[in-house]
Amino acid sequence: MASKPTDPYKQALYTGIASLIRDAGYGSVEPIAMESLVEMAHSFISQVGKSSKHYSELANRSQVMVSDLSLALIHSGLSLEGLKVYTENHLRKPAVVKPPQFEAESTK
Amino acid sequence: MSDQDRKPKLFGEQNVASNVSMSHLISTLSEYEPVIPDVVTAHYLNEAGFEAIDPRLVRMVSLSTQKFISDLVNDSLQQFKMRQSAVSKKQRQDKKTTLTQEDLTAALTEYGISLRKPPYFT
Repeated sequence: MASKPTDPYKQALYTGIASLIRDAGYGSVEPIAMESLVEMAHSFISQVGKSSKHYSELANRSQVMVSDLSLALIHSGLSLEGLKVYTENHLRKPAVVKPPQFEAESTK
Repeated sequence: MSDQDRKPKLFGEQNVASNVSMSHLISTLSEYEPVIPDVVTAHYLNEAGFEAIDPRLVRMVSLSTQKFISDLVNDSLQQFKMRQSAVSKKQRQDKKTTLTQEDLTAALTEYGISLRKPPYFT
């Protein structure tokens, strides 16, 4: 049995990744594989953060912009087109309730 | 999708198209709810020196991390299925699918990452 991490941020990552694994169709996961995935997610976020910060500093800015982030993501080997497809196919959008439509009665 | 979209594009053309879709992507991404909470992503980004002020950027990092992990897990599942199909049906005792380090390592080699078991891990 894998012991859950004590760091609350790691715990949240752990829970999220566990739900991703379940979504993929797995019933259980080895503790060492789980820990590897959590560490990799942590490392991925840090790397993207550092890389996009560097890109913004290269352009004489202190604020990170969308363009810096997209460059950093491409640099880390993630295609933006793939990200778009992934979000469209795998993620839920919050339900949008349309207001009821009433037809206006024509007055003669 | 029209036939024109399927045609291979020149490098410049694709660049323009991705710039246009980029702004669209950013605006649509904020509608999706990632499994990795934005607070967690923002914390790790701040640790890395990225001042996470714009929530849309944080959301984008959350979603891309989610995609990264999800792709890895799906690749591991493919490895698992390939291994299962090699074994004859009689030998299959376990019906439960388990994500093993072995499958994960095999999936990671496709990404060019080598994963080794630390000697102290029980």
